Amino acid sequence: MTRLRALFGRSRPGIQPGDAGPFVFEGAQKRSAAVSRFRLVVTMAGFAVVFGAIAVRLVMLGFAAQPEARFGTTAADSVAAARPELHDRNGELLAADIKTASLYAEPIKLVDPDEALDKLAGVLTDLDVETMRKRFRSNAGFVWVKREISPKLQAEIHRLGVPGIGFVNENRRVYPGGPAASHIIGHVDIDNKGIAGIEKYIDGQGLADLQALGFATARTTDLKPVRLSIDLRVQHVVRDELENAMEKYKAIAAAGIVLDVETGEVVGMSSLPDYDPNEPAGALKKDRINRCTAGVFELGSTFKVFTTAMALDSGKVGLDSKFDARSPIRIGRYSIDDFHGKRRVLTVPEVFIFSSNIGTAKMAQAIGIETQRAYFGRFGMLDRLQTELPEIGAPILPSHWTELASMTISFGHGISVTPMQAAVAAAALVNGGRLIPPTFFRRTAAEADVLATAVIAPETSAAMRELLRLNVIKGSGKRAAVDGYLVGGKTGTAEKVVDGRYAPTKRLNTFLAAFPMDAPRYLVLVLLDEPQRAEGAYGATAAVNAAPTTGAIIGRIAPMLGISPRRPDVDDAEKLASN
Amino acid sequence: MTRYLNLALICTMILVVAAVYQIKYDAETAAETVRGLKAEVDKEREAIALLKAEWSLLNQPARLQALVERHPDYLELVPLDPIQIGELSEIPMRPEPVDETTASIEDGQ
Repeated sequence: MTRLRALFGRSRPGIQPGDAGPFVFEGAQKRSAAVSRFRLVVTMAGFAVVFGAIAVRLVMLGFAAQPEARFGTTAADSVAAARPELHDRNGELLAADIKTASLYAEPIKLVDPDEALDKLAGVLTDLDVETMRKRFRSNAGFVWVKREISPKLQAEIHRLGVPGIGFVNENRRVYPGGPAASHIIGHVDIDNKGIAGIEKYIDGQGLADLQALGFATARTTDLKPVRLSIDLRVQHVVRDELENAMEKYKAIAAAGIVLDVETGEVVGMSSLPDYDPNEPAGALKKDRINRCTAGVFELGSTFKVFTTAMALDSGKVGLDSKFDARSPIRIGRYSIDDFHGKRRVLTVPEVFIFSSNIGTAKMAQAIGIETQRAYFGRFGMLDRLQTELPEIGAPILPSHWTELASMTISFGHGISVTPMQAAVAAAALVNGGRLIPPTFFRRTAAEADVLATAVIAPETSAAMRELLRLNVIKGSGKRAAVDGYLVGGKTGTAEKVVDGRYAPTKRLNTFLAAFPMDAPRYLVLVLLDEPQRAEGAYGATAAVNAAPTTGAIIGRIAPMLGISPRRPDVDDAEKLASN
Repeated sequence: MTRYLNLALICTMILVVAAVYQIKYDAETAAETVRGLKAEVDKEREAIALLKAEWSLLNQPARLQALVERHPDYLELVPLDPIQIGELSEIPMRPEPVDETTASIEDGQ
């Protein structure tokens, strides 16, 4: 009984000994068996659950995708992070990563620092021995000896067999084009971080974060190439012609922009002098700034394009309005006069093609200060330009927009803007009045339409196209004419400010052109800084240097850009010229 | 009966263990091969990147222009003149063979 009771006592509380009834012994035995079978089942179930779980987990592990095995991932991998390749609009390579080795030493492991250094100095001839000796004798765990060495040197150093030195593989950015597009692409520092141009921009777009998290390491090969809007061939032509012009006219600097007027894509942009991004130290020299987007200039008569456009668009001036340009305008102690004065009453097209300062200033007077300012605001000339490049200059505006300021601004003095701003605004004047923010990445015409804002009426734009074409046929832009292409454009010869005064011998010449003028596709802006009189030329105005440079660029790039030339007999602008 | 069954189970177990060992060993060899291939692919990728960069370097417009300017007699290449570009409509039709039947038809019209 006691055994049974003890047994029952251990059983579940639900089964009571009192329930047994008269046949205690039989019932007890049966019940005991039932209880032990019950316990057995519970235990088995428990084990089954545990082993089942293990089996299920095993199957799951078996089917789970193998996580990428990361063998040999070292600190070296994160030293030089991978960057996407940069391609031009046709897929030509502009920038790429290649693997190079960098030499390091572990002074703590060096057996004989002096011997090691002597051996290394025998191969690396440009090694700073004294500095290195100090570092090698220190107890540092790691010092760089030389970054980015050639495979040949690597093999030689390897053969020296010095213990305590080693190599890590790094990504090195190479720019096959050298200086061809340096101001657009920018460059990277020794750790492959973008520090200028588009390289810096793409870092700002999340690549830097990826690198920081270790996702874009040296092994990452699936970074998609970034395709830019520039055309390497056009880029080369612009740079080549600017180089020729700088040499021919002994200019101290030059800049050129080719802009697609339908999409706002920058097809080519060059600023000389430039630098080779493979050796970015050159970028630090003072005159190496990007004159297209970072430099601001008083663009002179080129601004007459904008004044004429706003005068026509405001409705206060018509194409046949007349302006008296017989005598200079005097305001206070200032006087506004013409460079090639006609001394007669001029119509708007005449003011435009003779580049009359008096006529243009009177146009500005006719539209009023507030309207002028509002139009410049719409053209985007009062604020910093919004684009991808980090190097953007802010325009310099007059502190007080007085009547005198308004008049001088009308012909491009007293306001400094970046050449890119002028190009973008001029593109709007010829493309039907739509201001499209510029971009250095691919963009379709449909995407541009969404971004475009109407700044002038399409009819005004049509009138501007005729005026620009007329100026090349019989005005100052004659030397920009190209056989087979309807080029239209406007010169600008501005005197530079030296010590607070306009210096008549130091000029900044610009030429603003678009082609083909009946349905413009591209806008070209050329800027020459302090050009001198070329041999055989009668002067050093934009008409004799910036205009022919622009013509040379257009003649070379137009066939590349797929613009088919016209026979002279289909040139309808001749008719326009006879009017 | 149970004895035979146990024996059979033990045999099966030994076989299974041997098979598992073999598979594991094979898997390790395969992983080794994969590692080697991956390293090779990496190396090839690097080589491709290097060659692409070199190709691009050799094809730079500036370099080509310099070469063309240096060897005008041999290459005989000059910049395209817009006058050289024509349109399909400017090409005259092939002169029709002087044939009496066609001539008469044209006369008729």
